[in-house]
Amino acid sequence: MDRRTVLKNAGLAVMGGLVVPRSAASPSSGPVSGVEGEPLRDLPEVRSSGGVLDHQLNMAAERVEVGDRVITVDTYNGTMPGPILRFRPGEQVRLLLRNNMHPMGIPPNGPPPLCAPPPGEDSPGGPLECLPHAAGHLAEGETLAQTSVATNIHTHGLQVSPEGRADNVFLRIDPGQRHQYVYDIPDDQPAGLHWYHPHFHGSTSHQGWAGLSGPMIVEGDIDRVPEIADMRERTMVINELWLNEDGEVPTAMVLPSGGQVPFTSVPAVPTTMTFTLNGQLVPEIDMRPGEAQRWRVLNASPHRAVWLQADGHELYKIGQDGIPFERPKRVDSVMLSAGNRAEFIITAGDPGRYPVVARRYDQGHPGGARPAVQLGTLVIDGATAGGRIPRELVDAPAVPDLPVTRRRTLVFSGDISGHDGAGVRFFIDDQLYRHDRIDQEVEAGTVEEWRLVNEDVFQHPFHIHVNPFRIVDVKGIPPGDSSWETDPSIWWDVFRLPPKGEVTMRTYFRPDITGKTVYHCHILPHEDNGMMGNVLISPEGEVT
Amino acid sequence: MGSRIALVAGMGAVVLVTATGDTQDGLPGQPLESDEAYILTQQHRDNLPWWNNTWVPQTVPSGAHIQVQLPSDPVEWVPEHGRDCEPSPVADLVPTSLLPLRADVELLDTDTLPNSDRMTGSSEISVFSYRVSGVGIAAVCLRPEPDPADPAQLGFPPGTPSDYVVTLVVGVPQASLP
Repeated sequence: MDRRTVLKNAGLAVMGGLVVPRSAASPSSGPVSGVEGEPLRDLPEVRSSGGVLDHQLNMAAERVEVGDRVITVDTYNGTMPGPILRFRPGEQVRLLLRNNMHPMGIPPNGPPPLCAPPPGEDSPGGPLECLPHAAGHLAEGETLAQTSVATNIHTHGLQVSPEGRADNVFLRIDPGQRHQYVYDIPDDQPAGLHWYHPHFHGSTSHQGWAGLSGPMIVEGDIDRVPEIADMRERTMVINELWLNEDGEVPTAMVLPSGGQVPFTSVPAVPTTMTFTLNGQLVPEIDMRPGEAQRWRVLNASPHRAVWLQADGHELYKIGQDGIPFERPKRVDSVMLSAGNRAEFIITAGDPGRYPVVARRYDQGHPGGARPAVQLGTLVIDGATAGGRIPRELVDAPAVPDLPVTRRRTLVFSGDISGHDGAGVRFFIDDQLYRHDRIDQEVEAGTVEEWRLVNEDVFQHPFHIHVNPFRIVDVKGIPPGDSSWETDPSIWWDVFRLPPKGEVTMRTYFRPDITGKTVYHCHILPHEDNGMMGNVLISPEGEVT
Repeated sequence: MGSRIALVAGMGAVVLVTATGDTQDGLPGQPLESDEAYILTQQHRDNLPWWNNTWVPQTVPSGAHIQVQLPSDPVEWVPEHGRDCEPSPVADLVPTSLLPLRADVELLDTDTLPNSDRMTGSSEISVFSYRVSGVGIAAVCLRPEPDPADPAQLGFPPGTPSDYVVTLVVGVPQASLP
């Protein structure tokens, strides 16, 4: 342990293939020079055996090379992002989580706002009252430093129980503690890309900015489509690392700011924002001319909406948020809000180097559009290959032919001014999140429509655990913004609310999963600052 | 400090540089950075009421780039200096103005960023870049024009002064402790 760490710790305590000619895939722009990087690596993978995937995830700080910089971030099993967990419907996944994290990134240049209550919270009073107030927070493990290392796991996209030892986001696992998770994967879990990440309320963004995330791949019917089965498959995780000058995630009160780095802290320290692909800085993705590859892409960024484009290449989308399509959809680009996954086929064009970018996009953050960022470089070289795009995929899950039992309206809003207290606050129905309050009670086995109204300019990406949904209506898409997909046949588990607009979604609360879980904005600093609600899924006939 | 501020005193008013509104995909290098700036917002203002008199100034190293971002339009922010810019008392009680050591503050640049509908009463963010150097106390001051009747229009709590003052202790190594 170096002196700085000591000081900080002390200070805290697809049938019938369609052959696409390679030239058809690069209609507009030719190859361009890109940043030379290392080859994109495949993430370590753990596969189920005998119907069970039994694995340990150790959370601890690790020194990680990102480009020419060494950073120190919390990781799963020493890698950033964590390993791929691959299994099938009907199997059991057992994860033993060990929390060996310790606080890092505490700014040494000013006191934390111990006595500065956030908007909506009671004031502890002046300096004399502050000490016992701060001591109380310390004893209850509620200081920023303590909360920053409290954790749990959310299995984002898995249709599993939200209670007990399963996808229970109400658990708190502190440093030195371990927890055995057990997930029974239903027989009808769609095949696709899902993911795991920390979900302890208050520390999700901090741990997300460290890159704590990992893919979960459910194998199934779509993998047996001959054209797809023949393809090179790549799983890519986009991480958004917010780092101080020491290469650590700041443990401090977080505020939005304008400019290239979208956040600052109290006290303020210089920070940077780095976007990695499988933990690498602008890696090279090799393809042969005409080759078709299957890309599974996860946006694990806590904040950034990634409008993904492989320059000059069309994409054939085959799945969204872990649920496959009935047939490929040809698109020029793919928008991935924070938490979204997209699976698509890319067919390589002419030899050359093509940037893979997150396009410049205004997602409502202060200061205007987030800048374009190069995530990787598509390098096309070698002998020509004959990539085939399937015409048909699989039968997509259907919403049962049931009447809509209930329609609800939820209103999303926020306050970033600071005039009512320290920091920012984000609300659903004018309320900040409380873990002990049931905000919505629904009945398992029913269909509901939720109208989600956004009073903000922020494009809050709405996420609900366990059950995915389809989009019925979208109002307020900014003129000229071509990033939106409103096809009612697509299943989502994260969908953006347009600025000052609204979305109506329809969902089916599957009858076999009950319990308390959450819905929230998947911009994680918004979730941590209040924009979350509890939904109780009651057994059929037992709604109070 | 006074002489450097004097270099920009002739500005008389904040020069607002209109954002380009560029829609082309540029590809800035990674990581995205802010020129190693300490970014301060309206929530970094000295002695805000919600500190409950426990506020103390943060430290920065000599040579630090300080960037102040404040909600603006229709309000404009005018940099102040000299006698019109004094450091704040710690915890609203201990006067830092009595400390003999003063660090230099140099205004380097101003800019604006779009911010429509993000905060009530403003449509832009005004950005002021400073360099602080030396050892001692430094204050960065900005005055709103026109002075709004409601400080909430500036993102400030009700009943607080409309001037923006942030006090810093300059010349303290940090972030990369030796």
